[in-house]
Amino acid sequence: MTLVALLAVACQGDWDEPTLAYGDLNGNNNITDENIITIAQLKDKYPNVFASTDKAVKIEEDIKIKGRVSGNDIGSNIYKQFFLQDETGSIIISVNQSGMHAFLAEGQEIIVDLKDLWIGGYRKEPQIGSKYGSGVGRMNKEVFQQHFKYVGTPDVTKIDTLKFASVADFMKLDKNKNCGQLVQIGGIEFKDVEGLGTFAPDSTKDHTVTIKGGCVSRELKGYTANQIVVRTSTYAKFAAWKLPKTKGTIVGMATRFVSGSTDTWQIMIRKESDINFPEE
Amino acid sequence: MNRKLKTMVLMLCIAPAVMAQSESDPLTTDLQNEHAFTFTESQLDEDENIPKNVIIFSSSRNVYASEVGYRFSPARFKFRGYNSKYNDIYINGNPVNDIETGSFRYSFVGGLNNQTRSQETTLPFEDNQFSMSGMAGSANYNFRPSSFATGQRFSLAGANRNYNVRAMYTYNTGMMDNGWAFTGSLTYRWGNGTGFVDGTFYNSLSYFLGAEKMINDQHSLSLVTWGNPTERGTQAASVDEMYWIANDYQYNSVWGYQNGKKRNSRVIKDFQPAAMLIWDWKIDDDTKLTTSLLGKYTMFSNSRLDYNNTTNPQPDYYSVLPSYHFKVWDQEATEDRDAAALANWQASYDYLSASKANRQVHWDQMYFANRTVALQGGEAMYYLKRFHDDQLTMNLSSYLEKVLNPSTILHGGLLLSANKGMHYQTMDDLLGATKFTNVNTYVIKSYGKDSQQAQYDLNNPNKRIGKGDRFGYDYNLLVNRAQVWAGISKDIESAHLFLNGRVAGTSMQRDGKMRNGLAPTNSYGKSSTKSFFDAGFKAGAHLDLGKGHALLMGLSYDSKAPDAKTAFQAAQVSNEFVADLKDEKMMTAELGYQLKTSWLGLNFNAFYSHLDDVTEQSMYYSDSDHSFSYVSLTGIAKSYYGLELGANVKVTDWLNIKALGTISDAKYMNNANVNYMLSEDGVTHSDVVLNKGMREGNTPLTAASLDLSYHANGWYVDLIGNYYDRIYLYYTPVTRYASNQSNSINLITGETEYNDVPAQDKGKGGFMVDASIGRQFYLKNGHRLGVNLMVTNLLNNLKIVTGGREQSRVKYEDGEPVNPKKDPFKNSPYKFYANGINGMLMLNYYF
Repeated sequence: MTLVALLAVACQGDWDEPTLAYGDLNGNNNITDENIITIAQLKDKYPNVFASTDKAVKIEEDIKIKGRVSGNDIGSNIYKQFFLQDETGSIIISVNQSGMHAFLAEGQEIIVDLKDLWIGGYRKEPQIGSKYGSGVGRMNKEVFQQHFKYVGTPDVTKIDTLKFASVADFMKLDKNKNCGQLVQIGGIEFKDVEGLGTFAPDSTKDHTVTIKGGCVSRELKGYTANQIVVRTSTYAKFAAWKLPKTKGTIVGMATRFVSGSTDTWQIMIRKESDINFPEE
Repeated sequence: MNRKLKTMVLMLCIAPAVMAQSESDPLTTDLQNEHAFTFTESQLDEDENIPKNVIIFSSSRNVYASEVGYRFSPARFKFRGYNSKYNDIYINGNPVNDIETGSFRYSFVGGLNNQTRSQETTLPFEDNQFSMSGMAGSANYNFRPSSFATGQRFSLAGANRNYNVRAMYTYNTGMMDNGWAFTGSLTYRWGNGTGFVDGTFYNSLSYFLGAEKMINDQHSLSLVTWGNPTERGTQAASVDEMYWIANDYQYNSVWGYQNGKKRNSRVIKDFQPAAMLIWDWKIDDDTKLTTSLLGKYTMFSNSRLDYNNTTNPQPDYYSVLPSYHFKVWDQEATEDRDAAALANWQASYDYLSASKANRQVHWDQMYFANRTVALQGGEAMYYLKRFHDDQLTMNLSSYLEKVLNPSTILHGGLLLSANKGMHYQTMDDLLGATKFTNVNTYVIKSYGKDSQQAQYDLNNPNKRIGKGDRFGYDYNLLVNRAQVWAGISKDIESAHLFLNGRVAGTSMQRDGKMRNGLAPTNSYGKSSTKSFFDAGFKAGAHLDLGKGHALLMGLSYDSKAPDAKTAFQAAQVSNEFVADLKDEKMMTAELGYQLKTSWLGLNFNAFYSHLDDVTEQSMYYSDSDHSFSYVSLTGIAKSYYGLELGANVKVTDWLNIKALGTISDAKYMNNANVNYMLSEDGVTHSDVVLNKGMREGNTPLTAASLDLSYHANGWYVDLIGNYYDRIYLYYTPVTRYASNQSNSINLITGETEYNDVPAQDKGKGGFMVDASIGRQFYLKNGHRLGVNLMVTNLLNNLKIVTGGREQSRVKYEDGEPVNPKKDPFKNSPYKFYANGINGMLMLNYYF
């Protein structure tokens, strides 16, 4: 009895869940709906920055974009950036923060206040961030918190996915207009590889792979590495998955990478459920 | 003359407890006791990466040793730089150091100030009747109910320390005419960090109950039970950058606001109920046998935030600090030092300095994150886990004292100990998440989520974890130990000589409760049993040279079984023992000079210890490997040597000046072997760690003190100045693996030379002034009232470092570690600073 009483004295109670509502903790509720332009209009305003040499320009105008999060870091493949998409196009927003899917769920609509942020291209892929060297890099997470506002709650059904029955169909897509877009590509077949044969093995464990920017590129049958690759981080949740031997469908972000005269589609898978292949 | 001295020396050696009580007045003892306890408990278990190391030292026979323990405790001084596992604590001759770590946890007797007041301390080269003294000495608490001062005592104290209020009531009957003695005591301590460290709290109740029956002139039996259920919110060390931003040297990163209320993420729950049966048998006038049986059940746990698929939520994590954006330490860098980098630095600084809440744990944000992730089908991003270290201990101790003749005494004893340590992790709070699975997220990138390797428990694959469920690891350590020891002391002419020897056997075994996917055949069930035999001897002499001069000398050689805590390569994962596990070997020599005159007491000691085959272990998150790293160092050689001086000058009847000083070194003497296992693949790697020349961390190796002690008309006033220097932080082996160091071959010697091995980080020392004032009032009704006020760090010197550790992180650029001088992690060790001005007012009422 005494012991029970003594123990009771030294027990801290359970904590109630915080009552704060959506938007109380993240973003800037002072951002208004004024001066919203589309992502296509934004890209058109800065036609010269998405060049083969990385450039960046500070956005001096009071303009905003409104879109839905189409790709985030939930699968540990996309890193310190997310993809924002509206009906006209898509753009990458780079923030120096990991685990952003904790407050930017797939399907979440937000307004981004662009004034004083930087726009630029990384190998012609448009990005919003801050200046880094001559190009654009990740903005400070505190800066980003001041530059976005939630609109409603997440709704994945409202994201447009561009669907292609085959890789050949996909290859017809206009890179300037559509890079960064969420796509679904059917009829994908990976080329056979040496080594462990997974999406993204660590080079210390598989000497057959080359790691660039923490990622491994895997080629598709019928195409060269300069045309299209599936690019996966060694930290992705599916990095250790075996490359499928069958023909299947992949959903992912269609990013581009320009180097010299090559202009490559790099498909970034967002999460495990983006990979759909029949059993062998 | 000789005979007198001999008797005196004999008295000194065989009855230290009596001496301790008769030499120091109760008020001084009270003060010492308060100092020691306040500072030791506050520093316990703050940070699992900063080992707890406390030795409360107090001996009345050596001026230096009598004061050093509590005097230097605000700077967390370690006696001779020794690890506390070399200081053996006993209760009625029964050893109570934790058998797995080797160290005594003072919380075991927390709040029992009245019961531990008359501890019997044995210096490293003194003999006693209950043991062979440890390398860092021994202490024995007497818990027999008849030994406590008869009467009632009520004590009330207020403080701005780890607790704010303490109330204590004790009732002792003393030995009554009917042969019974009873004792009962209750202590309650409470604090919410007021005037102390923000976000901490303290809630502790202590009880002590005992009965003793003197059966006849020969036999006496005592049964005592005590415990100390405690819950406390702790503090963690931080980096100078954050202390600067917070403008607070006591900045504490482990708490934050939840719904506007302060919540601490590292909450210790500690309860070690114990019971002891003591049988005293006076076989004849010259022979005494003391036997005791101790049973204790330890329930110790500590909570910590963890995370998955995001950044560490620790609010002083390197990537949230301004220096993450701007290369502060690398002035030659061209990248990350431009206007854009500076703007990012400023944005971080502005955020962190804008409000206190921004610098603390974002509880609300974590709940929000978990809900958002759940919406996307994900598992808990943040959660609060709890590490448990429970232990069931049964100890039987018996020791005999036989007076062979007035100058020769024989001692001997037997000890049997059986222990079951239970180590596991539970889910303390899912922080609003709906799903958590018992899988190892570190291996996912190597093997995939669906692999066998990813399972923490293949016997229960993909187990859903709810509040209170065990996950991650669960194992028991079974440790048994038996020891016999014997000693003889003899007085010849003006010399007191003693010789002690001991032999012991220790067995240890792991019993895994989960079948870990990284070691499927070697993690579930019992490991093999390893047995270690250790033995040692100790010899000491006290030579009286006449006219108050005396020489003391001692020599010991001892071996010690490795601690069970460090015996397994990765006890959280598998049954694999550390490779090349050996007994530690320890040699110590000491020479001392003592002078005692009517106006001066002086001690001067020189000591030297050398240790071989020491095993040490630590666990780090390795950033570059994206993995936990279980690190074992073996074959370590260490040396400890130094000088100690203590002087007590009686200037007048009412004024004493006491001076203490030590200068010492505690060094690693070789480059140790290291084996480390990474949790990402379960593979153990071998290397050499370049730790030669590293120092023992978290203690001033140079310390001095001067005390003006006034005592007259019932008043006691002490004004004390202390100086601390040469404070090293715990070095990390991780940044010193030989294979990661740039090296060159010396063309003349042909030896490999390492050019950029990082120097060990140090903390700043300095002066601290303490004061105390006390008075006893004898009331008309025969009762007594004692009033004491103790103030530490009177001049509020906030810049003294009391400890810390280097970061185990290395900055890589282009796949190569950067020069340590430019490495932001190397330049930002975690530190603790001394508490600012703090005090305790205590009222003691004796009735």
